[in-house]
Amino acid sequence: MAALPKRIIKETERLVSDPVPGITATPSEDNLRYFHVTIEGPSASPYAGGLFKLELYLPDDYPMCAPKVRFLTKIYHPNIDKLGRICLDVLKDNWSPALQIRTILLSIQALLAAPNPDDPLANDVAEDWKKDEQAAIKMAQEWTAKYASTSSQ
Amino acid sequence: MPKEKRRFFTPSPSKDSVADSKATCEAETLFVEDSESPNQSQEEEVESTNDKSSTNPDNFASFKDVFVSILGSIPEKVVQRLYKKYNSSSKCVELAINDFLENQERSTKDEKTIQQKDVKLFSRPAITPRASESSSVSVPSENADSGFWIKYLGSLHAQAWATRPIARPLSPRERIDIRCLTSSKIRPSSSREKSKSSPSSVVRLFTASANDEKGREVGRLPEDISRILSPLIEDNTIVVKAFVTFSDGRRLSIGDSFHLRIDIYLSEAAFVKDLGHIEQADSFITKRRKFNHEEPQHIGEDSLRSRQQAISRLFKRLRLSPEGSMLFETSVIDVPDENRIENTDISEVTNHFSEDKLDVDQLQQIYHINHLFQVLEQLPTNIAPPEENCKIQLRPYQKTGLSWMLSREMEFKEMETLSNINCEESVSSSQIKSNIPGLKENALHPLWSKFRWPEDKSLERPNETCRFNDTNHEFFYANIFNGELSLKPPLAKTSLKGGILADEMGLGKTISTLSLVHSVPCDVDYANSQHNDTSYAYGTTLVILPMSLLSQWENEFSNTNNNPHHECLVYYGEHAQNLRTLLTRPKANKVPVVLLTTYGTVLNEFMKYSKNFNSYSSTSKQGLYSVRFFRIILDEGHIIRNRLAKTSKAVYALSSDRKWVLTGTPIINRLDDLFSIFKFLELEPWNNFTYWKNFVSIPFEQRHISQALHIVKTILEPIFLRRTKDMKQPDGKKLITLPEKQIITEEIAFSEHERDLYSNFKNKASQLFNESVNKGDVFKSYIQIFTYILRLRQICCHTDLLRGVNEDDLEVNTFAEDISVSEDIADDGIEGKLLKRHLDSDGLNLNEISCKIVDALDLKNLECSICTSYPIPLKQVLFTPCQHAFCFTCILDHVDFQTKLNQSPLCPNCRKPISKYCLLKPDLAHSQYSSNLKLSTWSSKPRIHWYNPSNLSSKLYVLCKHLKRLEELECNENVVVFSSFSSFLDIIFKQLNDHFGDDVEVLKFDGRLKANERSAVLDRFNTSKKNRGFSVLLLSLKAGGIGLNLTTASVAFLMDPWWSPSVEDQAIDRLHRIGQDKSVKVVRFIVSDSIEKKILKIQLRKKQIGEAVGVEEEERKKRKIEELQLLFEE
Repeated sequence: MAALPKRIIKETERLVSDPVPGITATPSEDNLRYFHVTIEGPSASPYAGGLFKLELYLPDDYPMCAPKVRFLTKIYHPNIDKLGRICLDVLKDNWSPALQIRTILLSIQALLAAPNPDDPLANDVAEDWKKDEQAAIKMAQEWTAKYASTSSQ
Repeated sequence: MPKEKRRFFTPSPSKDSVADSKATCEAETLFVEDSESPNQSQEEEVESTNDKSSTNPDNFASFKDVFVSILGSIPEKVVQRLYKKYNSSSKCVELAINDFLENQERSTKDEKTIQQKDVKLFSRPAITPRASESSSVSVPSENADSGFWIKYLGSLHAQAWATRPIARPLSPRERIDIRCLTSSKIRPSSSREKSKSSPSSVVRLFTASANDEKGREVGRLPEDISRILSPLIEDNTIVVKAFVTFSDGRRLSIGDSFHLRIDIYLSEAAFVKDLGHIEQADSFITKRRKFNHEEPQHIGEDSLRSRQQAISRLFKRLRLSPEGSMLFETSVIDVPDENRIENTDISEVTNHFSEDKLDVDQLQQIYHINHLFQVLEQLPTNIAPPEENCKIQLRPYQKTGLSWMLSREMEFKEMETLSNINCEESVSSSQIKSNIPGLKENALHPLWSKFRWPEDKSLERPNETCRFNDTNHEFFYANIFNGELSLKPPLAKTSLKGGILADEMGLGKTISTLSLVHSVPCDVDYANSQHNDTSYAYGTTLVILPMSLLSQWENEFSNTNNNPHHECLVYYGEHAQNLRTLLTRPKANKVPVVLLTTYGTVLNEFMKYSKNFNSYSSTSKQGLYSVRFFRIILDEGHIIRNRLAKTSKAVYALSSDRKWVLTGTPIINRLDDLFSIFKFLELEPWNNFTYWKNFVSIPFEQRHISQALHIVKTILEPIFLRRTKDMKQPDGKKLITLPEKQIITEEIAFSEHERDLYSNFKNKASQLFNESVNKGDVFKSYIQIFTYILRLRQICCHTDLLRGVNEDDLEVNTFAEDISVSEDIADDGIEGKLLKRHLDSDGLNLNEISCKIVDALDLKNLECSICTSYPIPLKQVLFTPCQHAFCFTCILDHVDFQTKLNQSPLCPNCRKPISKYCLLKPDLAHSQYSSNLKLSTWSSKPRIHWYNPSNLSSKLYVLCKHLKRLEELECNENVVVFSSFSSFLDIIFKQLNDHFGDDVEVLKFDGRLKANERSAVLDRFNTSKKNRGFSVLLLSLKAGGIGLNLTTASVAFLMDPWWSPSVEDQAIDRLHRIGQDKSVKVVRFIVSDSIEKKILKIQLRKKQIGEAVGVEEEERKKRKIEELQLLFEE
């Protein structure tokens, strides 16, 4: 009886039928636990105008444990390292089974709008951010244009 | 050597001495020795009966007085004889009295034999029939006119030894006479004294003389040969001619050996003329000897026995073996002496203890009967029961089954009519009869073998004397078991109308049998004739069933019955007085063709009425025993496998001409299970237990296994039909196609609390076991060890099962603490303790929380944030103290997950710390909450109370998860839950009702229900069709295993493993059988690292080496210890 739990099916349906603005999540055809995600950069952030690709995977223990999310698009962010791994509390210790894919993706979008260099993942990026925020923002914008622009993808 | 009898006079000299033999064998000695003159004494005797003057009158008179004063009046002749005998010795009176007491009967017989001997003095046919002798000599028996022939059987070579020096050397080919002396033929020997070898019969060798002289004794034959020959020579079975084969020309002195060739001829007298009595159980075997040494009821019993042994040994010596395939493994078949009281006692006792179970292979051997398919092929396959009575279609193999059953009942005309309806080519009944080999009425009786007359290789051809027509008699027949010989083949009378239908379970025996009943519902011949017999229920078939199957048969009958005038009644004993009238004079519009009753009812009636069987009181006209039924059918016939049980006896006492036994497992433990069925079927001669024991049980025990199995197969062959699910039809297709079956074993982990309890018991048990093994007295503490094992199994299921434990049990007292721990948690009054134990926050007030929940939340529309189900069925809701609602499985899983990661569990919604023991559950009993969602008001507010998570053991919790999932998936598949513990089923019942709402209906079926309750439960389970939800049936393994049809369910859960894999298979077969259209999924729950895994190992072992245990005590013990070790090893 290892069929897909009802919750995942429900979530998937809702994600497709009633998406969060600025976020899309579609399940892969081969593996229904694997999602192709895109997040638009929030308008009031250096990432505005960019479309970022992510991958999201639901482990077997889900929803008891958190989904695994990773950025596929290169992004200049203190809480996201060059491999795309995200440092977000709800994805680790603060996970609760009451949270859903939807809420997680919203939190990631919120993280883009409000970077937190005091809890860094990518050390050098966080240092740059603290040293010179303006330069870092500019760098982020450049990267966005370079890697995450809608035309370059 | 048998001990000497205790006498109250001085014992007479032992029998072996010549003097004694001389003294006592006067009537029997036929040929006189040279030196002595017993012949003279014989002649004297003959004279003495008529002539008193030869004795001294005075001495005689005083002798007689003394004699008579001691012993009372005695025939004159006897006194005279005794006087003559002991006259010369000093203690003549004593000896005479001894003699008299010993030979009481013999003295009267003596006279007869004396007279007989007058005629037959020289008429012993052991002597070579010389052509010149008078016909009186040649006549062996009373049929003087039948002519006398002998036929060569074979030759033996023997080494004889000389008893006296012989003047002239023996020449080769010299004729030697063989003569027997039997001194004790008429002596009524006590059974203790009689030994196998009959030492008193001595075979002597005499030289033959040309003239009619007595000849001189030259020697003796060795003991083994004389044992064989003497009984056969005595009763005229054989005629022997001996020739010297080798002589070295020397004269022989005492003790020298010389070689003989003995030609053996079977004489006509050996063959039975009348075969009629063969069919009856041989009287000498069935008569039971009384304990005291009484006169045997048949003088010939002992001699028959010795003859049988002699014949079987002779055949072996001569290397005669039967024609064809009836070859027996052992060479000599010794029917054990029934007269040996010691032996019979011991064998009865050992039969009790020696469980001579069959192993799987032997069972397969029996079931696989070679000629089955040949027979079946001959039967018409397009047969169908008459439309007017039966409205369903049979499957092909059921049709063959029906044909076979009709042929067993000799209903060939019916078969013809029924099979011709549908097919073009007509099959005539005579054609059918001739084609079926098993039905040929010239089948050989199973115990007889056919022998071919060997070529005549004798040295001396007895041409004139052998007036034997060789051409017609190429064969003769012998029964090695009782020593009878016959020239005509003894046929086995197949007078049994009926048999054993042993199709594997699930193949539709019920339908096959009902089709038989519909085809031949009543005795047509009787119905058409004058009905005079008021006790013959000629139109009724009695079916005896276990109680749980009653409703099933009723349903099947109504499904198949097409005739409005036929009905099926259930009998419990209520209309006992009217039963007879009801059955023998049925009303025209409602004929009870089928009468259903249970084994229990039969037993009750037997107990009530059996005393009156032979009387004509009015009670004998009541109940089941007041009529003779047209047909009796036993369903699950293996229930009567114990022939000594009262139920079995009750069943045997019913009467009918046609009898059938239906069972998927005719042999459960031992071969003797079959005996009981044969006894019910009245299958001659095997329904006689002594017969059965002698020819089947005892050979099996003595390891002559293939012989015993061969006999069983031969007996079964004509009356037994078995098909299995994996057999193939003649065209290669499988017999029945069933949807697939999937069995999954799911491992479950203990909770901490359970693990602690389990470990405690386990340690104690291991300790005890190891101690016993070291001391070597495992069997002394076996019961205790087994009790531990039982406790361990119970813990694996649910810790509450230990609550029923006796205070006297030692184990309990030492674990009182642990038990009380579980009790504490279970006891609702101690919530306060719990709270303090598990939470260090400010005390939570139940009432406050309860009000908050009830007022604030819409209890009918709760959503679980963990699994997103909406709305949560109210029975599955658990609340946290922070008033958040979840499904019970979701929140408990979450708490367990967090605990495993060593994190303190937090409420998913608000992250407040929570605990498993601080959850709340609504109690719906007090509020009238309707599952009808439209009802939006409560009549009274539901109560919220603390939830006790220990109500669900780990195993039960997993079951709940599975059921919840099934509910989610909405597949409407009915579920069956099996367990060996009915108290566990009670717990499951309660918990499932607590946690699952109206969509999931839980029903319990166990042995405590009465018949009508059982059928009510089954009907409800089978017929309830819901749009959503499903039914769950809780069954105990044993109750469920009996024939129930649960094909409406397609999911099964086995809560705990059973020792025997076949019991589990049978349980699963309740679902996976004909009528199942969905694929069957089975889940077995096994607790990891527990005794249940070891039980699985034992199951595997049993499958591999077979379920039976060896015959010897030692082997069985060894196996049991091995199994225990398996259970306790790490």
